[in-house]
Amino acid sequence: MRLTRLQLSNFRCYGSLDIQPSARLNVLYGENAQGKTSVLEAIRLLATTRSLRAGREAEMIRQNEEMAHVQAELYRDCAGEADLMITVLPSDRKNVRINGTKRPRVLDLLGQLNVVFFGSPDLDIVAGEPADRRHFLNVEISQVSPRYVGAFAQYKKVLEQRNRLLRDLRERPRNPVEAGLNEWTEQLAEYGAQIFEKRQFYISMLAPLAEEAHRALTAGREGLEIRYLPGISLPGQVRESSPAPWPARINGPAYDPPECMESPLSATESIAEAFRRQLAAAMQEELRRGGTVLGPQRDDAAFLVNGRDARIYASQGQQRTVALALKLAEYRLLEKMVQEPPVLLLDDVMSDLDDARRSCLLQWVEECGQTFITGTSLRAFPPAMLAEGALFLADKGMLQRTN
Amino acid sequence: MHYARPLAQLVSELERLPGVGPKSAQRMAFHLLRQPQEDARRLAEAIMSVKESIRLCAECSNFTDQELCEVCRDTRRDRALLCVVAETRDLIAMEKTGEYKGMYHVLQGLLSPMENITPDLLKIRELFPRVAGGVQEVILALNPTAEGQTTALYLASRLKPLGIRVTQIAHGLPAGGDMEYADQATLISALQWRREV
Ligand SMILES: Nc1ncnc2c1ncn2[C@@H]1O[C@H](COP(=O)(O)OP(=O)(O)OP(=O)(O)O)[C@@H](O)[C@H]1O
Ligand SMILES: [Mg+2]
Ligand SMILES: [Zn+2]
Repeated sequence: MRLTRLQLSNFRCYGSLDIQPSARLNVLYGENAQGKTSVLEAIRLLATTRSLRAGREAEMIRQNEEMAHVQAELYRDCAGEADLMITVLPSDRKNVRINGTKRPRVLDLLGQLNVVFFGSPDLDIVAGEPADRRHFLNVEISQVSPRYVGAFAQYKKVLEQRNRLLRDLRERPRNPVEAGLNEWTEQLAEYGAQIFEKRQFYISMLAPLAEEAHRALTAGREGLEIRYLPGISLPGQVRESSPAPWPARINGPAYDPPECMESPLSATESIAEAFRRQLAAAMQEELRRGGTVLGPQRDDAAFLVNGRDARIYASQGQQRTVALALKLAEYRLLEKMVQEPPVLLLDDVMSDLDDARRSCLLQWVEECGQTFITGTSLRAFPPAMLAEGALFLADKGMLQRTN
Repeated sequence: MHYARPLAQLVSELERLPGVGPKSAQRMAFHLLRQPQEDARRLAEAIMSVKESIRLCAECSNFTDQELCEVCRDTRRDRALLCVVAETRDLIAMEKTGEYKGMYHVLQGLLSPMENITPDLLKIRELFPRVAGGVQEVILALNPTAEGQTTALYLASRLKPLGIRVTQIAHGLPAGGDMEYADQATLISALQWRREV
């Protein structure tokens, strides 16, 4: 899939911008703080409905302006043309239009445009806190599973309500059953199970691809292993009926991921049952503490490089390599699931990489569909790239095509 | 510069209304100020008369100006069917369909610890004597939100042991809606709440 036109209005440093990107490679260059990342952020906003940076969504609105618009014309190999638009309001709320029609939910935008973003915040997936890894999973799974998005929103609400009830019960002890604790627990188990199931499945698909990419990036010198660390103990083989997530890769064909994230509605039931049991066992502790003590809000993932936790033991370069391997894997997974190449967004990655990783990255870009890549100077890019790509100079909130 | 005191007081009272921010409260206050005396008095009287004459129906907790509400007074309705709703406005929405001929029970809210709405604040206790008096089916017509679904579970787990049929309205495609344009969440819920044909 590719963007054929991108329009920004009052988005970050842009008053108005209207560009027609190349179907293949787009190089955005310019000095610091000229608006390169903001263009990638706008594209990613259309794909994920979320801002790239932490903080309030309304911060994307240009200073002293009322609202920000991002609009794109899209061409999809499988579904033809589409016109997507998202408006960010000062209240942090967003409105969405697809082909000119206003949609009741912002989430309707998900699945229209698929992107893989790689930039400096991605180092946090490896080096940061568990919350950073959960955020990574949320964003990636949202792109391929609308059911996950719905379940996640409901779970958050239920968790908040249940925590409040547990706090009340501690402050003002009374019969928890009469107060409705069982029903909040049941809802927590139901939606929580959907989150566990999707995360477990997503990681089981991503891991072999990332491990393969990591081997290529390190010329086989380092081994990566990815583990899901769920916030409860999950039942053993929950996905017996699905294609084996760990195929034999030694001398065999490359791992071939499935085309779909959605499992039968019944597949989450055994997880829900395990979650229910563990919540029941933890009830006294929860009442004593006045809050929910287990669930997907405690999830984490571990990245082991040569058997050692990369968050603690890996060097900066090794951590960056793991992040890059994850992104390569994500790209392949998304490509398989949506059955066409997603749009690749690479923010300021060239300058940080050594020669080996750089050539690996270049090879990746070579095989990709539409790509947007930023850098502070054209010198950061190899001549082949500059010869082939459409060059855009970012300068004080303007973007000019220079070739 | 500050508003004259009575004006400031009106603005701050209006601001407390749901969905009214400081800006619209100001606009409303100035609008009322410009209105003829008569109009303002009619509004004030309407507000007072609602407070003085409207109470909860002794039977179903719907808002009414009599002992029993219009639905409960209607002897032609089917007393074996009881539809549980959160608010009077949900009852009105159901009535507008003209399709439902049973009785109602208005909970006057949904369970929500964050808003301090505990089971004893809802009209749940009042439900059981009614159910014991010959009701054959209880239809739960509550929103598909976390609060609505939790309240539905709460009621179902207490009604079912009494041997009463408990059903829940389907949450799915709006009638006349086109499958193709239904959002994913709606389609999924339509699928989840499917029934035999
Ligand atoms: N809401 C906003 N209104 C106006 N300007 C903003 C807003 N948010 C960010 N900016 C500014 O937009 C400019 C461009 O930011 P951006 O991150 O896109 O730059 P960049 O070209 O990627 O820089 P670098 O090379 O340092 O990564 C910055 O000067 C930033 O301060
Ligand atoms: Mg930048
Ligand atoms: Zn009544």
